[in-house]
Amino acid sequence: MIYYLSTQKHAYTIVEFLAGPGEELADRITPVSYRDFRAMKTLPYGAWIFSDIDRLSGSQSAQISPHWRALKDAGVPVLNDPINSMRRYELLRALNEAGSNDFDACLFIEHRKPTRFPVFVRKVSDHGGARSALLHDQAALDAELARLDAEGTWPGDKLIVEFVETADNAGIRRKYAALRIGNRLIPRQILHSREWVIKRHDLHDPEFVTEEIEYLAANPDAEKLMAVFDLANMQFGRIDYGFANGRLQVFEINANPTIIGRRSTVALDDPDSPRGVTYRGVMERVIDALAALDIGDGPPIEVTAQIPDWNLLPDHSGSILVP
Amino acid sequence: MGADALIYYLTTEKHPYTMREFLAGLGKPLADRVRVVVYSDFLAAKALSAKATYVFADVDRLSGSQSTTVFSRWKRLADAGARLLNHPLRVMRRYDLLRWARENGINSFDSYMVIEHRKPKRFPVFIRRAHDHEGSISPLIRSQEELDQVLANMRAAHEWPGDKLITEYIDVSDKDGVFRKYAAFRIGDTLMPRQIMAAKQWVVKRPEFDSPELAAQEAAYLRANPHGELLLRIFKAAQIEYGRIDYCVVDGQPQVFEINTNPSIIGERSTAQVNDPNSLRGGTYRAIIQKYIEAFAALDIGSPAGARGSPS
Repeated sequence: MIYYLSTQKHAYTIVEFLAGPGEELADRITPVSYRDFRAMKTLPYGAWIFSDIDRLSGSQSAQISPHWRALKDAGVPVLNDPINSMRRYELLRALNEAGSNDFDACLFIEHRKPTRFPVFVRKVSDHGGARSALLHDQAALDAELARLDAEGTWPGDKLIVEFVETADNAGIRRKYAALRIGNRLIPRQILHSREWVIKRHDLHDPEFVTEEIEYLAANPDAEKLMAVFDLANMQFGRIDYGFANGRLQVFEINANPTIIGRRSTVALDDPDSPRGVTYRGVMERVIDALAALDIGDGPPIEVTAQIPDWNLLPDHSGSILVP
Repeated sequence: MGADALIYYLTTEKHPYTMREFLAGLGKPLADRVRVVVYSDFLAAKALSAKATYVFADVDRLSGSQSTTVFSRWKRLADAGARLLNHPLRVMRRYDLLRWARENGINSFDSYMVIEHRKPKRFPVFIRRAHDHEGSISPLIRSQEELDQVLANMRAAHEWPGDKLITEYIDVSDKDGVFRKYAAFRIGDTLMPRQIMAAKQWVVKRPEFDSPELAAQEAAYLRANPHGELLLRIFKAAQIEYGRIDYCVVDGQPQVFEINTNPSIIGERSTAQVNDPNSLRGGTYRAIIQKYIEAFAALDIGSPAGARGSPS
């Protein structure tokens, strides 16, 4: 069996996959919420995927540390580490410090000022994208931060990110995505758009479809992407990235990605869809990679270490630096 | 929560003892005007009095989502005209404050989150947690290599890195090797110096020795309040109307370590000195406590001094 851990609210990623293109894995993958997981003193034998860890707070992560360690000690496949896998902010800072990403990011509470503009504001721990327009100077940033303050929002999770231009000469931007599942790196898609915030395929010109098909076949960035996943200490997730001046720029790794969206699922079943065949190929690779994690049956695993009592109030979602 | 109590002092579940112990001891004159309420009870209360003062103490121990939940009640109380101290969202926590103080030329030392991956510009450094008041959790670390090893050990021990701060150490000892830590309270509009603790260790948690000279030095400090203006500026920038600032003085310049929004008001040793007629500091501490009680009582929205409403 394979156990897929996520927060309760965000189990739909795996649930929808298993109800659709991943149906053949439905009896081998069990979704488990972190809430239920935390209460378990005995864990079933199998592979465990710690997805969605970027939505866990420090205290939530610490509370499941004994479970993670028990699984590691038992020698079963364990993907991601709730304590030591990097979240968005840490990854962006580490990549910038390493000279890999050319753009920087800082928390609002850091009081560092961006060294270049434009920038945009986003939250540290969600996948909602930019929370502001592009801000072209410090005065615009200060005004935006004052607006967020007046709205009564928590400043501790506000991230200021330097915008990196990825448009080609024709103004087309590309957002690439690739999945890591264990030791396999599977290219997932290229989204083409004229917008700077890219959440879906905005452009469907035949040359873009061809470009995506070629990308999926060639997997040209696998080595570099695997190095980023390793730096982040993540064995499961989807990396989103682009290119600026020919240099690979990583935007984030989503530890609980949508494996295939509704539109793409429709394309899978449409024999006339230009992307249908391609996506069927991607899904086969995803299914193979997940199935390869399954190690069969074995004895249950006891959690013997004490679970840290670090809670003050029940809900700690989306915070860093604080308990 | 009844309507009779006029000042509500809010804390996390585990830390109500600061004010409770005070009210049971030297703060007894305030006991019938102050209620200590933990945040979970505050959030569960069906009704809250608007004709009251609420001190949102201990906010540095609340997470983002907790602070946001508490803020929804703050907003309703503010709209209803209650007097409120320490905005749960805006109060600067330790890292925020240290970075602000550094960027604004107050602190000569810098502080870094482990997950920030910026490297310290100078050594030694030490590691502490962002949200507790336990002090350093490492010895002094004297090089980047040593720091890398400490951090690797921390990762291997599966310790959450997200709340760990790396702070550059400043040597505040005098020529005799004495370290002094200063503390001052802000209570609404009142900034009152509280103490100078002297120790032979760089982590100063309690006074380690005493002498007539040190007692006289502390008494002079308490009388003169020499850093009051700057400290009030720091409290205002941090948007903290109630708390205790801990700092040291290097070349005459205050260097801020932290502001504790749920401080011990007077510890056991000091209480013993208050009650000891032969103590070097008894008289000084009696005066401090009197001043504290007056300043806290003035927060009461029903008192002449407290009738101005919320400071924020």
